[in-house]
Amino acid sequence: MSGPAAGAIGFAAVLLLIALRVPVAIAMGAVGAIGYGAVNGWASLPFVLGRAPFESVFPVSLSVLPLFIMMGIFAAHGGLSKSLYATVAAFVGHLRGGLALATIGACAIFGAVCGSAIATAATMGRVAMPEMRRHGYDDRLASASVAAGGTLGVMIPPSILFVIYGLMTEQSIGKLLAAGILPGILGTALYMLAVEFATAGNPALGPPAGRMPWRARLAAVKNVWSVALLFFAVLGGMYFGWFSPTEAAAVGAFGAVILSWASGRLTRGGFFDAVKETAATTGMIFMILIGAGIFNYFVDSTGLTEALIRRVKELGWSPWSVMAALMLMYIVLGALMDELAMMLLTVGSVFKLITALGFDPIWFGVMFVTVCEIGMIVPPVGINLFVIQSVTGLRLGTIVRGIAPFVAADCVRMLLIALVPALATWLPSMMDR
Amino acid sequence: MRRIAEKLAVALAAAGVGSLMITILVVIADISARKSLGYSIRGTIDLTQLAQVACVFLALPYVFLNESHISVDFVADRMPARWRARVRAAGGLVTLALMVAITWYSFAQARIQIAQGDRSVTLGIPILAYWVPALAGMALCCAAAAVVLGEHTRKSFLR
Repeated sequence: MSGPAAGAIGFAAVLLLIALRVPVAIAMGAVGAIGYGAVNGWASLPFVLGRAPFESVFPVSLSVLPLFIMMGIFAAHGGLSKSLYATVAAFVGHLRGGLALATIGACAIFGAVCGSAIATAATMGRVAMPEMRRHGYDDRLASASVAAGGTLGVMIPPSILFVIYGLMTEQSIGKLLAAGILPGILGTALYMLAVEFATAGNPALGPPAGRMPWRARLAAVKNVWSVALLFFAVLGGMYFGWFSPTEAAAVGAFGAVILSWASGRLTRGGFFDAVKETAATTGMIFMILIGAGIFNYFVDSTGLTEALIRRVKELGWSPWSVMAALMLMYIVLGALMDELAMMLLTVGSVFKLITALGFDPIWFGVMFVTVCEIGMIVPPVGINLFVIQSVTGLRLGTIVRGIAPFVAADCVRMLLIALVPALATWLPSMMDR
Repeated sequence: MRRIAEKLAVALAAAGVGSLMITILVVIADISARKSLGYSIRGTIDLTQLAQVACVFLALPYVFLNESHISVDFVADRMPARWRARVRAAGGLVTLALMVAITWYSFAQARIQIAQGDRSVTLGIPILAYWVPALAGMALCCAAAAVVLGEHTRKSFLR
């Protein structure tokens, strides 16, 4: 059997094991180990199994991951989400679908201190869902707005997906995080339009809440200055070159712990829960990195990527046709598997292909994260759908029935970023000046 | 058995996150000193790297014991309960086998690097300090994977 064929069988084997509920990290690690031994001889396997796990954790550039994870988790446990939601709701709650708009807005701002879509959806779901239900919002719109809004957490910096993409492809993490700002704002606006679209046809989906006086609105703003400060300290510090990404992440984690403590909402029990959650999320992500490290040894040794690039060139497709096919593949794959796993499984090979076709790596990172956002809210394995299901106790079908306008908004955003690449590349290009 | 393992895993995870928090304080002190006094604390990168390795590997047994891995349920969830437990037991067996192999060969790799006298760049921290939490975490992952495998195996044969 040829090397590339063995690589393709390896990919299929990983997908099969994942479908049989073998953890993604273990599926990649086990197939990688067996595949590497089969292709390169069993005598070389101890070298890979001895080196890959430690190598996957050791690089200091990876330290941004646990630090950004800690920042998001402490921000969530410190109750910042409640203040954010109350503030945005004070301004737009009286509009038709206003509390759903507030949910989207608060998710976007919370995403600025939390790099995880799951954490954003879970945190905002606990705050926003009871409020929307209390005001008679339809469960379909309410749950779908939280599920979709939560995905903004991986586009608006700091984003764990951008960090891992940057580490895998050796792109500047600072530039990638900056690249997510405009698409994140665009995504927020389009999600809000999706809410307007949904409620225009059926106003009963999101009845307006009472209008707040300006004094109450300004008082609410005072409660969220700390989130803005934290965001600008982290992003501004990186953008203007005051800190390295690791230092910025440390400043963010430190700031989140201090602000949560100062808010008085972080109890002793909450602190220990946050520590355990930080450990669990960090361990989970790094275990996938370890599995992917072993799997990548195998894939590299098969020559699959090079064969794939050769085959695509032989097909004679235009670069944009290849990109469209890739995006379609990722939407399907994202509907079937976890986005982080999808990235670690495929980006190594796909990145070489898209750079060989002349696409900008930063722009592709933004496109990739956008498809990941779609994958998070598309059944059967849209992770945010499950998160909202567990937070609200609603049936999955109810959430799915409300999600279509938000998926359409994501597709429009992807199209706009493809047509106007500057949306993703302009801010990073300014960092070179 | 599960309770003892749970307590040990939580303690190790907390120690790992604690080491990361201490490093955060060192980094903040370094930034403050650099911006205000023009003085930099030596070796913050070495310390960050050490805390990162400790945090990750000491957190892993907690992840294995609580099955906090990313996995996909939608096929397995459609199976009858006993078959679902059998599939999970088979997955547990693959997990245990992989972790035992990783731990065994990592131990051999650690011995080579320690014998070569590898050290960190700035502070000269011996590579042993990085490998100790790594190997401890890996070995305890094997124990945690064995506990989980035992639980799923029992469930798959119970009526």
